[in-house]
Amino acid sequence: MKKLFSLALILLLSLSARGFAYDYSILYDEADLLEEEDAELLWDMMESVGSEYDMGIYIYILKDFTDFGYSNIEDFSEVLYRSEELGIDEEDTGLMLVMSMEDRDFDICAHGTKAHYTFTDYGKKLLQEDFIPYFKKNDWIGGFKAYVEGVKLELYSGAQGEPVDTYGNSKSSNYGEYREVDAMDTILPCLLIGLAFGFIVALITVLVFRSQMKTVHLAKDAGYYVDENAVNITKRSDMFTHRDVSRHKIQTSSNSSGGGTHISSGGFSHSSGKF
Amino acid sequence: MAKVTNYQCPACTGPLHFVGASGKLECDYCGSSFEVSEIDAQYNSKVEQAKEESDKEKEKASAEKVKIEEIEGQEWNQDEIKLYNCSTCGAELICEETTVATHCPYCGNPTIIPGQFTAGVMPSKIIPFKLDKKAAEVALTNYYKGKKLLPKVFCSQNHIEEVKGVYVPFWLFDGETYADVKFHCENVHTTTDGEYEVTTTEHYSVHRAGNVPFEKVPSDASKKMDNAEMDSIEPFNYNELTDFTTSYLPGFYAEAYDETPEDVMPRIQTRIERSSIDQMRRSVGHYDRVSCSSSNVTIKKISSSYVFLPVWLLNTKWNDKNYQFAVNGQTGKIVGNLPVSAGRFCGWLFGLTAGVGTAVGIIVYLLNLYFGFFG
Repeated sequence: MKKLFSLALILLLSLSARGFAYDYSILYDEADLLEEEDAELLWDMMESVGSEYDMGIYIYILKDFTDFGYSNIEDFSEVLYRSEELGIDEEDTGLMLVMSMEDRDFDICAHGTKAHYTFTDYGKKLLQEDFIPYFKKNDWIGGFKAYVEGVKLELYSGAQGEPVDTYGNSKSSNYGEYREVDAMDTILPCLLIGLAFGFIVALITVLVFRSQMKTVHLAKDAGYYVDENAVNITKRSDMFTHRDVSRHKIQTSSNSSGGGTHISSGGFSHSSGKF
Repeated sequence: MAKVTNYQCPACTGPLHFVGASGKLECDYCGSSFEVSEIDAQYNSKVEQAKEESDKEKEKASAEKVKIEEIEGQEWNQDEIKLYNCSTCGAELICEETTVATHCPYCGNPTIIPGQFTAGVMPSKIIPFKLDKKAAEVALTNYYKGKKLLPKVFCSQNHIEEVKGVYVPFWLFDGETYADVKFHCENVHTTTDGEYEVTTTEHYSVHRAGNVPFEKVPSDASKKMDNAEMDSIEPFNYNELTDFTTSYLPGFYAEAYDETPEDVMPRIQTRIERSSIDQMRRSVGHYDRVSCSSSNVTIKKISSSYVFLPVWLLNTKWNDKNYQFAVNGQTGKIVGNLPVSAGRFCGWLFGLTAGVGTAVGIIVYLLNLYFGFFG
């Protein structure tokens, strides 16, 4: 059955609207998002980056992936990748961006040891952040260029032995230089959190200072004047009445803090969402 | 006219005043010092005579009393005042009804009015002043230190206008309460069962009852004194309570009580009830949460004694506003509300927000680089 879908895919995609294919890259634009000139420019960028770092780089822009009988874009991407026999070298190494315009779905899908090493889960999330702001404004070529630039930077970091990841990406100084926009995006919330925390600390501190200015208060108790040794407890009872039991499902922490790359049983790693 | 007494030096007849540091009466002029008991022996007969005369005069009703309205150009809160003659210079002293010890405004000599100590209004005990005027002033200077929100000009422009050593009348209450208190207590245990966190809360009804004795709970007995101020300079060390004698008064001001034990009882009752419940709470064993569900506190027995306790009152003025500070004349504890500088308040608030905020922001940013909170 799966094979039938694969064949259907090949047939459908071979009736391509517009496509560019070379050794390291494929750009397929079924939705006619890109002007021919832009598409050529983008494809050149992809080919240049792919050949420089020996990595297959693919972009598939579809009208609606569900037309192929799939409801999950990640499942569809895996079938598409295999059907199109994408990837270079014996491990079919490559990185593919699939976009489905109907519901504005996307999936970044990596295959092969080198691709998994280079494009970590965190790295793929950063790639999303590269193009989503453009796509939200329907600036397609702007988004694709930003994506390919991001891919290039992550390939560079990976080649330096420091793939972009939650751990260690801060050590990747070269990467950091190119990610100034992202850094600013992060600094702002950090600063806001810091200021909010600082304000609370400051408020507590000044209220303590202010309490030092007011030392005249009516006494509320007479504890100082109780002879505690002479207190005589005459009645003492502790009676168990009832017991309440409540159950809450333990919330597992998200994998955002884990770092690395999560690889599916099919040998792919994904990062998908909406744009 | 009622008599007043000036304690005079047996050596030179100069005025004597009690000095807390030495515990003796000292002469301002010749420097002689005398034990309290020595002066007591010499003046007891005079004091008793003055008391007797005062009692007789009281029986004659308003012979020495002057209606307030008769004093031209003055407004008084009290309905009545009393007139005395200074035994040193003969000047007329206008005193409030409760005044026990004062200074002659003309010759400045300490003056005692023994006639105030008729039966029933004589303090049984007194804690003599231990701190002198200078120590009280130093306490105030030190009190300003470290106050981050105090206007800078307050210290420089502010001058002490008046320093008065006052023996404040207090009632000390001894007694016992019976407290019957019920608590709702909970113990909470948390375990895990597979994917679930199981929280078990055990509820207990806890009952405690018992007798709680109190000893010497103080309440000032003067309407003129600010209750909160007098509460705030507590505690006094009652081990230094000594039998009252007027020989401790020269050099200080003193007032007789104008609030009876019944007048101050509501405040005392609130305090001892709260502490009685607290004592029951302390006897409750270790529970994770304890809340009082009902309480009933009964005062089984209570008695009061009348004492004089030493307080320095320091008055200052700044920006046309009066500030009063009270110093415990025995322990040196000082209290008093200070003005708050709005500029300093905002400065600290925004300065700390910026400083701490930036530091925390950098830390969060660095942590984010490693852990990717915003990834």
